This record gives sequence, structure tokens and C-alpha cells, in this order.
Amino acid sequence: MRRHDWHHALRQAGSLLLLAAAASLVLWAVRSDRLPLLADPDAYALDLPVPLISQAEARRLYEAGSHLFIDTRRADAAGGIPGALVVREASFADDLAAVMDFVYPEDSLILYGDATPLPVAAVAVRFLERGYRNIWILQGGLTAWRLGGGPLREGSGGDE
Amino acid sequence: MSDRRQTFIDLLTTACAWGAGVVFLYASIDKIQHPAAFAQAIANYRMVPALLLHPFAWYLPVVEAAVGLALIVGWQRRGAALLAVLMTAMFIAAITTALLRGLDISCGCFDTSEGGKVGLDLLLRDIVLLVAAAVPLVMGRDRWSLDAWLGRGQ
Repeated sequence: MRRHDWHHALRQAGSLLLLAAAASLVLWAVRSDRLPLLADPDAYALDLPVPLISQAEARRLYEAGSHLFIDTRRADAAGGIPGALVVREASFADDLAAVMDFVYPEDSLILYGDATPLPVAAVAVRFLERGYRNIWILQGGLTAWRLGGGPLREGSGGDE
Repeated sequence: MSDRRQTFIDLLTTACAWGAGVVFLYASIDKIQHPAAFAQAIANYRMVPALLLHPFAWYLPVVEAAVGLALIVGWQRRGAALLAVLMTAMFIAAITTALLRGLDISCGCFDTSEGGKVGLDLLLRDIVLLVAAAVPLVMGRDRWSLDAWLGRGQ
């Protein structure tokens, strides 16, 4: 293709994109079931390897003391859920070795991050590979826990 | 170039444009009807930031429909072919990434139902589509197109 042909193709492509933008705006405006402009990340299941658990349910289990909470945030992250064990993806083997006496494959674990589940899912997969089966991810992470009035630990890091 | 050879090239170009156009137009229908389900299908690839999910889910199917119609009727055909090539390349990259990451997800290519898992067969199909879309882009001849009828054939 000559340079002129490319210019022509690009101009035509631009016209089509503008036309499609106008059409999609009209479609969005007239639909009664239109999606909000911004998506809520937690509203999408993202086909996570383990199920999500709501903040309310997690709080109930925390009060009952039946589940272990795993903090997957980076090392310098402040605060956290009291009693949570720190296991991060970047240092998974070392972190797990450090808490091996406190967490067994038959234990029930609730993993949490800052807010979105995707980074936490990577840690969940590592646990699954090690034979852990009872794993949940806290929906909304520590942000949701904090907003729900859950107890928080001062300072950085967790119980290692 | 002989008339016969030129006619063959024109036929091939138009056939590829129509084929790619029908595929794109058909692929857009279910996604335009079910944007929420399509947004979920996009989210499953874990490639698009949450901020862009809904605009993407609204805009992409409409672009597909516009490209499909433009390829079929031959209006702005070369530009439509360029967009078709770019979009198909993007789909191939997404499917390849999903396969390499071992994601067990639906393609979301033609409909937003749970069927049509990503796999090598889908990858091969998209490669064929890419080649088909590239033909009108490269050849540019569209004797049987609206552009040619309007006197703007390229």
C-alpha cells in the first residue's frame, strides 16, 4: 500500500470510529438498562479461583474465631485485621514457612488485600497449589472491612 | 494485468470483505443486546482496567457493527478493513494471553453466554478472519462497493 492509501484508510477509520461513538452514545442514552459509566470492580466475579465472602459474613466469622485471616498486602501497608497472618505473593514461600505452625491445609482461610480481589486471587492460587482448600477472598478487602466498622490493628505489617 | 486476473482480484477482495463484514456484524448483535454480560466477558480476560470496562462494553460492539456494515456495503471499506484488522489482532492477543495464563473463560466473541471457551480453535478462526480482513485493506479494489458507485473507490 502506498502512503496515500494509508492516509486514506486512516481517515476512513477515523470517520467510522466517530460514527460508532455517536451511535453508541445514542444507544446508551435510550436504553433503560444502560450500564453506569464507571464499573464497580467488586461487581464482577472475575472468575476467581475461590469464592468471595462479604464483609458482614467475614466479620461474623472473625467474631466466632473459626477462620484465619491472611493479609496479602505489600509489606509496608499500614494497619490490618488484628490476628491476621501476613502471606504475600512476592515472598509466598518464605511467608508461608514463617507461619507454617499456625496455618494448616485443613484450616479455613479468608484472604484480603486493599480493595480489589484480583491481586489477592494470585495468593489464593498459591495456597490452592499447596493443598489448601477452604479459601475465601474478602470482598472489598480492607477498605470494605474498615467501612463496615471492623476492628483494625495499628501500625504496619501483620502477625508473622 | 489482464482483465480476467483483475476480475479475480476484485472478486476475492469483495468476497473477503463480505465474509469479514458478516462475521463482525453477527458478532456485534448479542453484545449490543446484552452489554452487562459482555462487560463480564471482558472482565474475565483480566486485561481491561475496571475504569474502562463499561465504556468498552458499550463502544466495541457498535464499532464491530459499523465495521461489519461498512465492509458489506463497501462504504469507507478500506478504513473498515483497517479497523477489522486491528480489532482482530487485539482479539488474537487477548485469546493468546488467556491461553498462556490458563484462564478457563468464555470467549465472548459471538455471544455472551457461557459457551465458546477460549481455545486454539478460536485462535485459528481469528487468524483466518485477520487474513480475510487484510485482503480489502491491501487490495483496495472495491468495484462492487458503494464507494465505487459514489465515485470514491480507492
